Amino acid sequence: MSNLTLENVVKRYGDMSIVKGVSLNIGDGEFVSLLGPSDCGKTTILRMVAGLNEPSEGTIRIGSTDVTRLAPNKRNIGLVFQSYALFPHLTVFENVAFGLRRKGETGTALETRVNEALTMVRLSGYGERYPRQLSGGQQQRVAMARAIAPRPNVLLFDEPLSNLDAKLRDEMQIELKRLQRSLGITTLFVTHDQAEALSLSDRVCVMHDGIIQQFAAPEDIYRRPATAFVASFIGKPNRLKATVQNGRLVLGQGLGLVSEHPPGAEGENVDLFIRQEAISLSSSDDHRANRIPGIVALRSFSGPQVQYVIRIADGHEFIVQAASSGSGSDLAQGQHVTLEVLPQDVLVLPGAAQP
Amino acid sequence: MTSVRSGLLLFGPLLLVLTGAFVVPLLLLAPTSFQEYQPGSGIVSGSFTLGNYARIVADDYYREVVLRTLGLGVSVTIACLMLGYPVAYLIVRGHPRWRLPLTLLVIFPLMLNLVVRSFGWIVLLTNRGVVNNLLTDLGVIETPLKLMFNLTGVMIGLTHIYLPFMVLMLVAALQNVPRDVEAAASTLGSGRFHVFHAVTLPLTAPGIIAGSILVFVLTISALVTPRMLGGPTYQVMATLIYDEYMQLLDWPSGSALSFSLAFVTILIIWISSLTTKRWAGLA
Amino acid sequence: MNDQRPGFSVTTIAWAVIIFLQIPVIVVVLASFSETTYLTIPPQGLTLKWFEAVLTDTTYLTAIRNSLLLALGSTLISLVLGVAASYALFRKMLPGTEVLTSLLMSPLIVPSVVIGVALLQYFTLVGLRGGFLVLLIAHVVITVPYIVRSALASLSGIDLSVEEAARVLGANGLTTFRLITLPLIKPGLVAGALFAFVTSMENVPVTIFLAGPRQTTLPILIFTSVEMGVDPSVAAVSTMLIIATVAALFVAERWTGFHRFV
Repeated sequence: MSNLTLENVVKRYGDMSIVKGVSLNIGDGEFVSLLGPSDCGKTTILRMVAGLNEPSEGTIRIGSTDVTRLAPNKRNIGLVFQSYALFPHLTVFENVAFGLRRKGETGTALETRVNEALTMVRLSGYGERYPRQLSGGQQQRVAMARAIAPRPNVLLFDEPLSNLDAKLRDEMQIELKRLQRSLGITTLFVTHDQAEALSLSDRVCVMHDGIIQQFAAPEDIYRRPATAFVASFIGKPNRLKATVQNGRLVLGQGLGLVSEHPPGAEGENVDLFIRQEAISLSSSDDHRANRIPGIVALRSFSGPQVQYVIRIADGHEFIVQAASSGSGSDLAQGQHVTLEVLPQDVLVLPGAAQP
Repeated sequence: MTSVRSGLLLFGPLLLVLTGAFVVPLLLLAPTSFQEYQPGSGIVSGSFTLGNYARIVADDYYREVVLRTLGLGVSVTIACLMLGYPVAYLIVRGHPRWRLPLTLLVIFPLMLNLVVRSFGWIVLLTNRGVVNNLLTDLGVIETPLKLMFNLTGVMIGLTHIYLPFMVLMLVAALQNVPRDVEAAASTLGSGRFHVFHAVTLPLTAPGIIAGSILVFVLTISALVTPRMLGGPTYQVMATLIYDEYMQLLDWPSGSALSFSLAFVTILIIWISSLTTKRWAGLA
Repeated sequence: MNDQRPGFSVTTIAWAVIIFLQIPVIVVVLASFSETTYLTIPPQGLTLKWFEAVLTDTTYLTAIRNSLLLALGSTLISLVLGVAASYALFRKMLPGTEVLTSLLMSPLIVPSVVIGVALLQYFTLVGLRGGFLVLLIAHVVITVPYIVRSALASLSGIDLSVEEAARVLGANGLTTFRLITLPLIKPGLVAGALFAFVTSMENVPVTIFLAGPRQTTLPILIFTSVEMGVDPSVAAVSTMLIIATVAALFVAERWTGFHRFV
């Protein structure tokens, strides 16, 4: 068990930089997600940690060992591939045993370890089957058992759940978290699914365009996004432009909002992010709440939620999510409503070009 | 070990073998072809002449052999095309259950020794062979037909040998014609023949070209079948080369012929690969 | 919408052609059992005497032995050299992949007779002509393209990640190849090896220029003896070849199910 450190890691292909100077510190036993859209560099980083790509610059350390140029077979790492990459010509048992055999384990000791791993992923008794005889979820679990059996120092996951259907994915997420907790292995998990990242991780590292946008605990990422990209990537926010005047955030037509977050300098143009689920359509007595009148432009019902498009005086449109079992769920098109937003839910970030 | 070093280690041995036993020998043909040969005394050392090449076009006999070879190439290609297309069509568009058996029946002759197959044709076509015996017994002819040592025998033999190649290429081409396109054409009112003519044929054109090039090149390079069915008197380029080297020992002339044959072959293949690449881009 | 089946005339022609393709083989087999020197339909009597003649004739037996040794040897060498080179090509371990691939496949483009005379000249110049080694090298040259082609095709069919998975689990390059890659490409390689073996066994245009009197191979023996007339023992040895080929195909198919790769 060890911690994982990346220092100023850069990866260049020709004159294109995929990873532009990334530094990360992952503690022993910590579960960290690398979250971001495709081509943000997260998979490249994972592969460099595994030793399948070589960094153009920078260092990677596992514990106190510099592994930057070390061959992948000498790093004692576990890697679960997106496609599982199970050996099709070997049984489940032999797949899981592969890493152990490379370490020289044989006989009953080997058997015990393999069965241990299979039990941990709840597949004991499947040893004699072949990968092609297993379902997607079962293959996924064999891939995990294979990765953890040799007791690696670091566990890497490359979008392991993206090939599963939604229900299976939810189940596997829980299993994965339980497994990681009981093993206590330092884990780096790559995904583009933000809900997954937020629910599984001790800390989340949001990446875009080869650099780290924010590296913090899930709640911080959600409530206090550090950049416009993080704010727009996490959740489903409404995004507006405003100007700072007298500490208020002015939209136009005299409409303004108050935020708990630092508004910025006087006269500055800023971007506001308000999550769809943070807007309330029913009146409350909270005097702190921002109130803006508007008209329902569109209503769509999708089962547990109702989605509204609300237009306000200066032409801005807000998308609002309301629970279909609560009040505020049966507003009609054309109806006048009042939008209520608490100042803590008005996220303010410096106005910039679109990320 | 860097990947380039291990790459060299893996690739190197084969590269050495091919360079030493293929590339260099081929290149060495060129100097020989310019040397002069004196019957009886051998190669005149230090000589340089274009005579060997000139002879190919100037000498009546040589010219006849070359033209015959090229003519055979064209005729065999056309025959393979005419005979092979129906087979390919049956394989691809016929009942799926027959597909594997038919394909095996087409490929099976390829797996057998070329010499054996040519020998089979000798047994069939020779003066006292199966065909003549059958026709005589049936009273159709009185004297045996001369089916060997001439154009007929060589053409039948070569067509038979290279037919499977044509069929396989046509099968590949036909597979790429979506059935829907043919169905669409017929719902728009095209009769069966018209569908074939206007839709299937043009869409399989690249496969037809590829198959034809392959068969043509193979035919003009053939040695065994023309020799066995044509005998020592009915020559094509490859058999002429054989005689020049083994009987006449005229290596310079043989080299010139070889070089010409190789040059034509490689040129045709190269041009066709360029055009197919262009077509693939247009497709 | 399934009435686009070929019509009657197309089907008839196709079947006629397919039967045409099998005729010489059938004729040869019949001739090998025929009592008379010249084959008639129907045969005028069945006998095994031609087979007996072949199996007791040392010329034939030596030729068979030479052919088998040559084919086995060259196929094995081609497999080792060809698979290694294909792997290096496929994993792009060297620059100029396309050029190198064309080079490896080029013996297929050059007419065999030209390769034959070129090698004859070359080995005579070097003073090596007439030995078994020379034949072996020549056969490696003409068989290796088939190995390379099937190796490249097989390699492209396996998921690269399984090799990476093996590396991460602790296997070095060689072990990964031995335990993971090789078993997965084996069916394709068997198909390629079969093509290579057949190519070597039947080759005349290259072999005939290089084989000394003691290295005559079977196809050359048949080729040259035919000039002296139709001898049913040629038919007998041909039938033996046909049986051997069919048997080999069966065995290979049962062993690896390689028909998918032909």
